[in-house]
Amino acid sequence: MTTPRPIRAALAALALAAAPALAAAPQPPNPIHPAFTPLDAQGAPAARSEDVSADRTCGACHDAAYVAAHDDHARAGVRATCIQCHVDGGRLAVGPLDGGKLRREDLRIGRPGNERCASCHGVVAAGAAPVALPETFELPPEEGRTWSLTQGEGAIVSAQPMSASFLNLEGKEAAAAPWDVHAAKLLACVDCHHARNDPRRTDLKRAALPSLKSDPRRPSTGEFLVRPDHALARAECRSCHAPLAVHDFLPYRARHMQVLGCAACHVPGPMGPALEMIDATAVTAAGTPVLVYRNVERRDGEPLNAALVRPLRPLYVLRTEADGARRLAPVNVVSRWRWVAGADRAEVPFATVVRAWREGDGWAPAVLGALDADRDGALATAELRLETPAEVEVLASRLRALGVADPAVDAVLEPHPLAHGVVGRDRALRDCGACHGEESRLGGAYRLASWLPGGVSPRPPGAGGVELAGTLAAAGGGLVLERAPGALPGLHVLGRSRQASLDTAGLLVFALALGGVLLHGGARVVLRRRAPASPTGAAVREVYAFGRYERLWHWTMAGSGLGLLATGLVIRGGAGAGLATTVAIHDVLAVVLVANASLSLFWHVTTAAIRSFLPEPRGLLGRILEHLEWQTRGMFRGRPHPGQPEGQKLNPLQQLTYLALLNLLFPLQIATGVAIWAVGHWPSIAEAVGGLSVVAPLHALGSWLFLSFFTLHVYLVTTGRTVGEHLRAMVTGYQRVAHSEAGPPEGGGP
Amino acid sequence: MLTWIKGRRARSVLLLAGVVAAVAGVAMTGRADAARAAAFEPRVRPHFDHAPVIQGPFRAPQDVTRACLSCHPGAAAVMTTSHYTWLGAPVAVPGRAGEKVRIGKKNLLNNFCISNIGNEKACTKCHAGYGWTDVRFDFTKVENVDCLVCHEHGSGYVKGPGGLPGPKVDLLAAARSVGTPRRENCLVCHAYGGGGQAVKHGDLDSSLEHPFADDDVHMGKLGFQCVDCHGGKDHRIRGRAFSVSVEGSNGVACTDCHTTRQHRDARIEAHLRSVSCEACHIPSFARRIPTKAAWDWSKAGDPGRKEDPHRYQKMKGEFVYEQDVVPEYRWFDRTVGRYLLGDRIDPDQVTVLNPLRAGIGDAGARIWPFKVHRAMQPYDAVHRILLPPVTGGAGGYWTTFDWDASLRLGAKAAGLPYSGRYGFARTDMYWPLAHAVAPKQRALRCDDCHGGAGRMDWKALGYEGDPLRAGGRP
Repeated sequence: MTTPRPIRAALAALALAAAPALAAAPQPPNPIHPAFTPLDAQGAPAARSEDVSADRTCGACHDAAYVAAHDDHARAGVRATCIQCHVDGGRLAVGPLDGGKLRREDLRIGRPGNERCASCHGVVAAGAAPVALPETFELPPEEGRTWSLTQGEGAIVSAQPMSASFLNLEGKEAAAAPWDVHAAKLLACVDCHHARNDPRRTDLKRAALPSLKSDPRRPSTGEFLVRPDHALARAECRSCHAPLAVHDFLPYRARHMQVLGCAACHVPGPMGPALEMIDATAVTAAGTPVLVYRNVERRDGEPLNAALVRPLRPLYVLRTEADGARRLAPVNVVSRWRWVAGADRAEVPFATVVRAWREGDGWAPAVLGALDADRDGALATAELRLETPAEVEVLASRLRALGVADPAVDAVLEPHPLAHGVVGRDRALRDCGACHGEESRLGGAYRLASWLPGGVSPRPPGAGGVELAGTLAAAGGGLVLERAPGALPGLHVLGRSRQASLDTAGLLVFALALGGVLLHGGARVVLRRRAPASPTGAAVREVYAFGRYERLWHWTMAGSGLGLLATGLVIRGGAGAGLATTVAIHDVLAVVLVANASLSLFWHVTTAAIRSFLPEPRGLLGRILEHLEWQTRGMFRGRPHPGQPEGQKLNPLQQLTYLALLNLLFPLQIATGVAIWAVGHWPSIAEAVGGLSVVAPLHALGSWLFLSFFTLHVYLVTTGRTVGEHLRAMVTGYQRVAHSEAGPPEGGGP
Repeated sequence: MLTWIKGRRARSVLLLAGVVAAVAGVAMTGRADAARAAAFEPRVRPHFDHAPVIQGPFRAPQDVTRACLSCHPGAAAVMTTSHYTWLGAPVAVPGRAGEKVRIGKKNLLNNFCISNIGNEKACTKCHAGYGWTDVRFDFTKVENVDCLVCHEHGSGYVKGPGGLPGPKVDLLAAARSVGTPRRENCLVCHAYGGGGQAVKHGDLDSSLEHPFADDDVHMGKLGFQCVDCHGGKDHRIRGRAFSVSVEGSNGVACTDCHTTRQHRDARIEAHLRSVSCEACHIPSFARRIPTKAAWDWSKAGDPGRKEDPHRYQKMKGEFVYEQDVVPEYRWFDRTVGRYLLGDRIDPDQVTVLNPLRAGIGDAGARIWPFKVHRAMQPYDAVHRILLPPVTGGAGGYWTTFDWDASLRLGAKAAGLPYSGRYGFARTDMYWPLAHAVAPKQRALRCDDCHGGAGRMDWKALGYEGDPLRAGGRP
């Protein structure tokens, strides 16, 4: 019998093939990097990993001084060496040497993998093990160690579907999208954060040199490898993506791309735990600062991995992007309190703060005495707050005792633009109402802090290209950023933005019109009751006053105008999901109205019917006064309508009104309407006249005036001899006139 | 009649409209409930209720067949199909010179229970016929066709040795229940081949009787029946299993239904040149029920070892079962070679019973997901041919535990020479996966294959490296 050995090998191979990759692939040996001798700080061969000096070892070939001078990671408090970023595991293993140099298989060096960046910046999961927050997630930051990506932005960089993670996410079952679409598409951190003079990358120059598609003057690979510029690029979405080439579904595409940063829709609600505030003036029993998360529902003592994480609701701000444009961007604002000391107000190391709060394994008795409100000998989470000056002083004096000069509480607001954890189109924000609707994300109150440690309000951020538009206000002991509901200063948001003064003016005109109508109408009713039955029983005859076309254009105008007013109101009210449809209807109605007006103008001009609209200058004032007299007095006494000159259907007041309407209001509405519409295609047109913030309120004012006109017009329709007479005339074309009257029909309709 | 319609036209139109409206109304309100119920009930196509027209009594199962044929004479065409003959049409086996041959379950070896030859009585439990217990079975008798195994609905119909119904089967009830085949009808054989649940196919098991959407999006979410894809005229069911078939004509493909461009992302769409739909949309197999990955017959017969149906059986040897398995990926052009009875093997090499023929250079080939079943099975050490042992019945291995005797019996039944010296040789079988398609959210993503830690062995597939960096095939 043959041995069964082959099957074992086959089964083992099968098992290997079947086992999912549980961890990230280690960095493979670098096939071309020359072998080198690890050196210590003195330049002697290093025997142990701990002794290896990156400056000496790498600096033997690479220009370490140049790199240090051009390095984002070489700031105070940051200790990233070549080895930490470029060597697998962040540690150069000094194995057996071959001719005094490291063996090829130990040269696991090269471009930094995601996990290298993650070792300082946030949660990055490269393997197949479900995404979870590490135990160290809440520990105080070591020197240079930060979780900014996750605690700051709520981002977790992983290709895994969110539903496969270990976290307790809201809506987890349905969250089949990856944590980060770029990770899922195999991009690495260093693909966007690359060395600035990397000869392969010229896209950064494109903004500065718009006339050049590509700049051939690049450093050679050799030059680059000697002197790589480590002031890393911050490639923005538009470095790679051309948003105008896609987004076909989006109305006002050009306008949206002009004012929206990509993240506004593509980082709509990160699912990683993001901070609201860090109170490093206080120390928890675990020896960490007090951390308050914005999107985590957590019971006392619950591990963060088990607490319910909801989508982070970002604050939307205007942010200056790399190309100089200010665009809407989501940020998470973290307010941070810490002890500062001395004249330069340098931050007191957190380890010192810990020593001020704690003695041995417990709380310092003085601290306990000041803060233990329920006298249970321990400080609960709610008690870890320095609120009164006395409480602050207790800690300040303890800090002074520890050698800290002039300790004081200081606080800053740190906006973290959401740039990582990008989602693809399936999960991107597509709801118009998210900005334009009732529940607009752009306005309202945004909580900055639930309480103010030490009574200190955090300072707004200085530079950074981010403006926290709005006013800081105290609320419930904490701090909120308040904005008018739905509005963002400096940006006109269709459906949400209001221009108060023009709106007030328009409303005033409308109120006057409505008030006048009510007053006049009320008087008519009252006086008619008192007056004897009017002599309308006199013989009447019917005159064909309105031709078929006149009635057609009138009612088309009326229908489209009313439709425009109605849809305009809906749009201004923030139609939300139906916004795009409503805007489309509004546009179609506008086309109908303008076409109708043009045809009707042509008809009036060619048939000379326009003469009805042109007041006869001779005796105009007299006729106006006569008409006013009739409207204010004669009408109530049952006097007949004063007649018009030959061939004129309209009374002088109507003529004046229509002149204004046709020559001022119509052009205003059409021009502003076209400008608003053109924003979707040629944003520069609206910008030339002051942008949407000017044009849109003017359009709104025009619609107030139109509404006022409609009110008066409809009321005047009722001022015939009977209430429905004029209306009937405009429907049937036949106007009833008193038999005795000769010549032109009375009135013309309002 | 016509005059009546003429006279009452207006009224009848009104009446008709009313009825239509009422029906539509009922249908609308009932739709949500019906959809919910459909998720729990096995879906069956509406079918003529046979209960009133089937009259008993049936003393023998063949009586049922005669009753069926009295109304469905055309159904006798089953006799020419592989469900009955266990032999396909003459085919030129790819990669072999010579005459076309008829091959099928009847005359092929596999590396599970190895062969039907000499073991007919047990194997034909899944034969769509009655009474095939040995070579004397009369394939020409039309009443030997078993209509019920495919068409009865939930009547407790089970088949026993020789394909005959079990003793407790109520033939009348079974005959009265008939309808279009349901998933259970197909799965009773296709999920239990190789002597147990999910042994053979990695992508067919009893979980598909009532699958969740995650198990199979077609059947679990959309309520498909097997016959929705595996249709066919005159009982000639479409579909090919490459454990017995050697080419893909009359097969079923995703693109039979999914005819238009499917992926919005051009990068994914570009994969269709080289990657089968199945490769991405069947991310793993045996997701619910473990399937047999390896079978070592050489270990059989040890009375000292603990019996465990998933690890070791004295009768069958040693097994490996696996669940939620990442498939193996190979180029596949829907043709395979085939080991035929009497072919010589090299016992030092792995003999692939249905060797895949395509490589990276074949334009028509795509990367497919496979379950590979690995086995040790007996062969004649002198003639170097694989042998079919007789296992069940008198003199079979499962009674005697004597390989020599059972191989002698099997060789005789198969008409093969037997030298008296035997060994065990390594064999593989490739099972392309096509069922248990996962919902699109679970389809593979870039990083499942590309970027380093992926599941593809690019070098083995013939690439110079990850095609993301090294480039695709020319």
